[in-house]
Amino acid sequence: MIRKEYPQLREVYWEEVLPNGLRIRIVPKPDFARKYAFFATNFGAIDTRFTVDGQRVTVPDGIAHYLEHKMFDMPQGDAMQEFARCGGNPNAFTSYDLTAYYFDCTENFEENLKILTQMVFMPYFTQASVDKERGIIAQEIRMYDDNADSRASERLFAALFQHHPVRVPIAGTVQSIQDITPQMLYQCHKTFYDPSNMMLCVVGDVVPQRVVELVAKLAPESVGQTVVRDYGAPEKLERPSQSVQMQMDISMPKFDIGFRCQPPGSDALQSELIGDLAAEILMGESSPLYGRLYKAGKIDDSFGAGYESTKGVAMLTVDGDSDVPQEVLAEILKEAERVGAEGFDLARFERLKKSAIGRRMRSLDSFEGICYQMCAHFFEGVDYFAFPHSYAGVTPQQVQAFLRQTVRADRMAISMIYPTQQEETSC
Amino acid sequence: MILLNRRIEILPGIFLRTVTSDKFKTGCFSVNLLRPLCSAEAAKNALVPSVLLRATAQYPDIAAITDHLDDLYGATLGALVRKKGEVQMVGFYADFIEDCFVPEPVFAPMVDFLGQVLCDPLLQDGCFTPEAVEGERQNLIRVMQARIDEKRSYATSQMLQTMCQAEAYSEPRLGNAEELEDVTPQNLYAHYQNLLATSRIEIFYLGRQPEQVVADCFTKALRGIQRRACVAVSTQVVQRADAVRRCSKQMDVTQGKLSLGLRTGCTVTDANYPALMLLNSILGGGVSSKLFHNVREKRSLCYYANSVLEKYKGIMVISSGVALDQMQTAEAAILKELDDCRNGVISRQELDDAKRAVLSALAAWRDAPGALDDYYLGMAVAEGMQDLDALAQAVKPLQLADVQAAAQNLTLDTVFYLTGVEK
Repeated sequence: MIRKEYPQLREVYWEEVLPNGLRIRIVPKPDFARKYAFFATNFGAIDTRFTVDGQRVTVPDGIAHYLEHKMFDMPQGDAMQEFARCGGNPNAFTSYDLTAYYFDCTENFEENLKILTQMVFMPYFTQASVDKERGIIAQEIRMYDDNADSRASERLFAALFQHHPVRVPIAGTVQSIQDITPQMLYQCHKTFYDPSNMMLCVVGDVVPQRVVELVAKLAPESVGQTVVRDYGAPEKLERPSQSVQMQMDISMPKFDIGFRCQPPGSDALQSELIGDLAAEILMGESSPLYGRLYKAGKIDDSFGAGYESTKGVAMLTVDGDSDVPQEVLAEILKEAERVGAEGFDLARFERLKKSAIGRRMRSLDSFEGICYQMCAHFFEGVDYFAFPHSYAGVTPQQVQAFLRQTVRADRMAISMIYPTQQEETSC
Repeated sequence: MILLNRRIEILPGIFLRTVTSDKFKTGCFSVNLLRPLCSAEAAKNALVPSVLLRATAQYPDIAAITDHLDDLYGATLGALVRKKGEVQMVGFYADFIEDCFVPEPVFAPMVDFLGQVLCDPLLQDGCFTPEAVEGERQNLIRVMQARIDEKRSYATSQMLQTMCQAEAYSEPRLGNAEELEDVTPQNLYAHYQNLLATSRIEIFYLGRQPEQVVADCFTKALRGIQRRACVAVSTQVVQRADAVRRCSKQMDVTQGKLSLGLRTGCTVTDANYPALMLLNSILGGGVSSKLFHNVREKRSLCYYANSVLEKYKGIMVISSGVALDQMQTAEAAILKELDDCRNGVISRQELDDAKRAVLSALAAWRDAPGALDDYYLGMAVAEGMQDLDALAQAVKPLQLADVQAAAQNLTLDTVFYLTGVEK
């Protein structure tokens, strides 16, 4: 087991890679009653087309999320109840690029970890249990359908990209989940829940050696398949801008704007930091643009911008509520052109860096944050705790170049949702 | 290390509670003005912190304020409005990196800045600037209008407004838009002066600074405030519901929402509150609850079904997201689980699981600054409320009969359906 120290962050982690390829990281947190374990697999909603040992496979949209729901079924019953017996509080989520299962507890940590480890490596699906879940997941999809924020961003991704599977909602559609069978779930589990494709991160007052020993006993051997993922042809960065809109029962219009960026290369963390700093420089709260739009009442404090990426695509997104989303967009494009050409105040750039480092350091107070960032970045090939070092390397020139190349009409799409009329209450 | 200190009065009617801890990288504080919840002032009170955050004499616009906070390593100072029973708390929440992680001090400048925001706002002709007042008035109205966007919380708030229509509690946390119609820079500033002078102020701090340093900093920052006698705050509790009220609303949704309001006959200061808390956990508190397990998992009737307590007011709210054609079935299924609790149909396992979940949550609160802030402010509002340790001790010996008794005290008051529009 190796120990890595990050003096500036005052953080340490222990790491062990088991013979089956499972990577385990433990971040000791003495003084905390709470203990947290997070099992992530490098398999998300976008992984619907792939080749296993040379054989092509296509699975229905939403299968990663469906699998997440069904992993809680174990031969001896429902894992939820087993956690409850041990005082553990479990949950799970699926994102575009990973699926994670986690619990927190204050006692019986090892028993809870045992349940979690057994659960992720023990698929158990029957036709009846898979059929029964369809109703629950369909309800979940309908709930997202009624949520304007998720609707706006799902529609943005569909407009922004031409082939990439990020165009499809994470949970799939009510239609697409109809075809999911136990066999497909078994196949996805075998392909992607291989220890060599997974990572466990534990935070809390635990003994690292005991965590490794316990998990080593329960984790299976690697199946050793060769998996190649297929996200379609590379997305064209430059093409005519897209605009989509719809109506929902909401109070004021919402917008979600995206600008396609070059997908991250070898240093995904640095791309992320450059993208976030560029968003701050151009339209953060201390920017002239934000001040102007806010003062004019064109945006409110729901306005936000940042960098997002997943395998094969990256984008700068801007969202918020506004009565005049098109005017907001026009002002963003105009200001980006100016900043891209003229540059920006270097003192402000340094201040924003300082602020960003401070906020990222503080986010390490969150056990959830540590685990998610560690795993998501590891799957991208980077060590998240290196962020202070990465920030130090970001130059104003990089940020300016990013803005000049990215925030342009031929890189963008906008998704808007407008209010419909309301009905009356009967009481 | 975590040290809970006593609540102390640092200035007349201004109280400070500190928790000294070196566990976190983030230090935090909140400053809260306590007001009786009522339509005469709720919306105006809610507007004040946002107006104050627009500009101070020294930092005259949002960009200048943001620059200053960026310089303090990305510290945040945000407006915070809470509703605890029939008490409205308005003020600010700050979090910032602990001094030991960075080369310059952050804590003392943050308290100083808070002092400027409260005591030295940017003024024009002796009152708030028209730009700040009008801008934030519009923003607040939009936030109020946006309540319909989140269907889940919207259904709950509609239900509560019906349930408590004759009580102060029906006033929403942020008030209503009509209450802002006659707001001007002059009358809002005058209102603010009255707020500052007559509100009890409760401050919570958590971080590495010793209590005395924190007390000194806040005393220095706030000593300019002119204080008068504080307005009293309290909550009226309705013990039982007489009959069930029903109401509904149609909207263009694909999933229905069901919201049930019950009177618990018990608030956070009552001796049987721990039993009510445990009952809530058994009925709808989490993934081992009856609602989750039986209504969602076993019968697949809904995507979510849970229950929460409004512990200061004596209300339980049960919420569920249900397919449009299953609303009545889901309501009946939920009420059956409630009846089971009343009849003592609770297994040893359910009782033990719930107890473990409650105790674990209470223990974990000490690891969560925001939860501690909220808990200790609650103690400042509800006199006689137990601290976390005492509450945990009271939960441990509870038996089936205690939980059953708590369930028998529940009376269903209001049922609200949010349904789809026929197309």
